[in-house]
Amino acid sequence: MPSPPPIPGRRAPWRTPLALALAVLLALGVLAGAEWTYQRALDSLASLGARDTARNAIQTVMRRLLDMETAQRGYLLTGRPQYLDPYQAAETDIAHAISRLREHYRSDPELLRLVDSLQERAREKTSEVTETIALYNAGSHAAWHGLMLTDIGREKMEGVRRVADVLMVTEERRLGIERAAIYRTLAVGHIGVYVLTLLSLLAYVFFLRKNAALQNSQIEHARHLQMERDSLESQVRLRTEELAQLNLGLQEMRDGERSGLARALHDDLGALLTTAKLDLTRLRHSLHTTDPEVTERLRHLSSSLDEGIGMKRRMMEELMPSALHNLGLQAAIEHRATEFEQQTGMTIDLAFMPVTLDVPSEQALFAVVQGALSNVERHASATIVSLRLAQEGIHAVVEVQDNGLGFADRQGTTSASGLRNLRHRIESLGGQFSVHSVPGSGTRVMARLPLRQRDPAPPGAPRATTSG
Amino acid sequence: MSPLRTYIVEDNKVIYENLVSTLEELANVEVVGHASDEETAVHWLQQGDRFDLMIIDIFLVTGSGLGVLKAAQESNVPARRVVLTNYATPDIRKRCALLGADRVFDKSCELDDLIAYCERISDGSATAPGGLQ
Repeated sequence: MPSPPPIPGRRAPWRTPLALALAVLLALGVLAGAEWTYQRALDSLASLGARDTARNAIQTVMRRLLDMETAQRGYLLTGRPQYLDPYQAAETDIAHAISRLREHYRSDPELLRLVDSLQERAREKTSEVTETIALYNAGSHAAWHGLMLTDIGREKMEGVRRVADVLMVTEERRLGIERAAIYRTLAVGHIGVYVLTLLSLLAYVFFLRKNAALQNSQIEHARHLQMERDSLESQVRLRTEELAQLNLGLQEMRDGERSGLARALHDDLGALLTTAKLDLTRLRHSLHTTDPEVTERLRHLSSSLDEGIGMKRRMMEELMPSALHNLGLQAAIEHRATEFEQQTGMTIDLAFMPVTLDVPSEQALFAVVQGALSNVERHASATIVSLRLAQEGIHAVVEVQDNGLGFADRQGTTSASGLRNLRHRIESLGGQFSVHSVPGSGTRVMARLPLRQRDPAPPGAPRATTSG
Repeated sequence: MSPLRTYIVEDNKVIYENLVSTLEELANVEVVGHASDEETAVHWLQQGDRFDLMIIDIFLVTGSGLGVLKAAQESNVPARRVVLTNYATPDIRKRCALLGADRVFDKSCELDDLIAYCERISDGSATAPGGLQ
């Protein structure tokens, strides 16, 4: 028998772990990419916030210095002390703003130096304002006036503005860089999503293809199994047929041997014994003896011969029912039915149609009748049996129906095995055998065999018609 | 006393020969013909030869003694027909009687009865043809 082809999809067992590893890698990639984009965006947002704070601080410094200058001028012009309020608040605000800037630029020494410079310029401006106000308060009007005219205040203010501008420009530039970084991150995330989506789609397509291949291989496998089963079944059928033929051959051989033996018993031993009886009869007549001993010997000899003849008859009947052998199926069935009625007290309704069958078929149908009747006798508790022998189309049919107990299932009993043998015998002759039984409604045994013309009887074979 | 003209239907040569010599010796029988199958016997019957007694075996080479009995009955043969068989079952006895046999003798244990019957036909003390006993 050819070995089954390898199943596609199961050839490379290493593929499954590899696919799993790839799937895990892909999933990790998706997670890592998403996390990276998220963190980058988060960092950038935090950085943007910090830069806003820094810019606010620079602007606060500038604004407060301007407030201070405005306050100085208002006070110097009017001498009203309420103009000094912003001046007093400005110093604290500027100190706060500077400290925020320091905090912001703590890791950037270059910009820290700029902050130092800003602080220094602011302090210089503040001290200029403080000095003019102190001079004004001391009444040295010429002195503060002179100080104002020296343009020192404007120069100080310009110095502060320059440093602040440098800081602002730097901030603007860095802001631009960070914005660009954010856009890049977003773009990377964007492309990453596309790539991952594409990869996932590819993986899904791959999975679908694998799945389809697996399904195909399973279908192929199932088809192969079915083929093997069919082949096995046909082999079993073939073997069963061979066995049935063998069994039929054995059955025919056995029947042939039995009928040969029966014939030998009848023709040879029977003739011999009958001749001996005839001789004995003649002896008895010719002796005319009154000797009781001789008479007794002759009587004993006669009864011994009778016993021998009786034994021969029993053996013959067991080997082959002589009625079937000599008078045919119908006569044999009639004979068996009469015997059955006498033995059991049941009534048999016989219905016969002449049928023509060969010897094995007649023997098989007679075996069915005998088997069915012996089942009825042993199990059925019936009162009436109807027995039918008929020709239906191209078949001879024997049917035995009783009105007894019937049975649901007698598997494993001797009658079941008897019925199985009968079924086998009938089926091996190309016929059908059925047993129909319902508990309480009796049993019907039916055998159907194709009609077969008997071979012309060989010379010397005892054979009779069923006429009469 | 004229001998009993007898036709014998028996397929076994040994039995036939011994039966003939026994009957001739003991029962004043003259064998006028012999057949070992149904067809020959029926053919002989149809020739219309006169005879007194027909001894018939049931199981023959071809056909059966029952067929011979039937042919004899149908042609209204006046002679007595007796059956000598190994198969003298009640059923066969009944069927033979219905086919016009006067007696049925068992080959093994009723040979004496057959001889006695032949003697009684010879001396005229046997019951009339067609009677069962």
